[in-house]
Amino acid sequence: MTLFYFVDLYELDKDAKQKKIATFRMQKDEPGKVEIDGDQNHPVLENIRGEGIFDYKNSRPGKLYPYDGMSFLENLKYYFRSGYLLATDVQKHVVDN
Amino acid sequence: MTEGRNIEQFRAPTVETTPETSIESVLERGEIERVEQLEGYFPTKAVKLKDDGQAIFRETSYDSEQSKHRFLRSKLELLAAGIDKRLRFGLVPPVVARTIEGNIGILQERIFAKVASEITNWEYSVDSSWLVKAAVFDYLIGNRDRHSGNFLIDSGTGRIWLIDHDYLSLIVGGSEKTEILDKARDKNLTQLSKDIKESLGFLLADIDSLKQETDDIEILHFIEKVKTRTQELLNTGTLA
Repeated sequence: MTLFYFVDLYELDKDAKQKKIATFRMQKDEPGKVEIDGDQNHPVLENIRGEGIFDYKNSRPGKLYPYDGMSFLENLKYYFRSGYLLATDVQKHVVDN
Repeated sequence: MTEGRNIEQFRAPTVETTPETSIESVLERGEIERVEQLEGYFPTKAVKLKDDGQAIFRETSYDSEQSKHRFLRSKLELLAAGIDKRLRFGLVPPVVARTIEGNIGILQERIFAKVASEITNWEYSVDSSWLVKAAVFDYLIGNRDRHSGNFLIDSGTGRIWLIDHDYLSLIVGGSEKTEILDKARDKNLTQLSKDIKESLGFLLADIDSLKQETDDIEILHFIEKVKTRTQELLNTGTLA
């Protein structure tokens, strides 16, 4: 059994329907490695990989990047909170090997 | 502008019927055609108003561990819109308090523009006058979380819309990013025009009326800080 943690990121289209633009996924056994499923050329994803996000949860200085693992995942929901772009909380998914 | 300019030099803004006013009345009373709960951590709904476009509803939750912060989230968005209105900038999409499906929250006009983070090198897509207004606005409210995920750009007109005015950005501090203010400074758009100074005067003349809408200590303190910064900008005439 393999446990994954993941966060989905959505954008709002012209018809007020959400479209998933990425899933940020981390395997429990590989805590420093967040993989991003989605169009890697999407400007939002390029931006987040390049610029990082703030540690809103702990108000720590510095930035968080995908290689920061769970801390990165936990802060996506605070970074993307407008409705135009909206991230879920960290969710779990178990895959039977 | 000389130091200590008397705010009475500015006439208090009169209430006018503007496009924003009519949009607000639609947001307050317009018939709702469809409501859709959005996937995401913060409770948010997409709302279709009959014959009148779309809006985004953000719930004010009273029963969670973060209820206070969520409550301020609504209050602060309304407050930001109130400041914008007094400045007559038109940066914050019209927003009102409303109850939808039994939930209290704020309903804000949905703007059909791109989130800045969806535009590579967004600074080349904005008009300088909008960039200056947005920079002045962020300076006044001391925004500490203006990253490219919380402002919108209409590339066709170069217009900027500012969203996400909440506890993280205005009170406790967020990413410490001041992306719009930084770009205005990079472009040397720091000297305030006569029109901008006039707008600051309008805000200063009427800012105390915003205090009547709240008894929250943190918000009252925030309004005082905005007032101080407004006076400072009027005195210095520059964002540098």
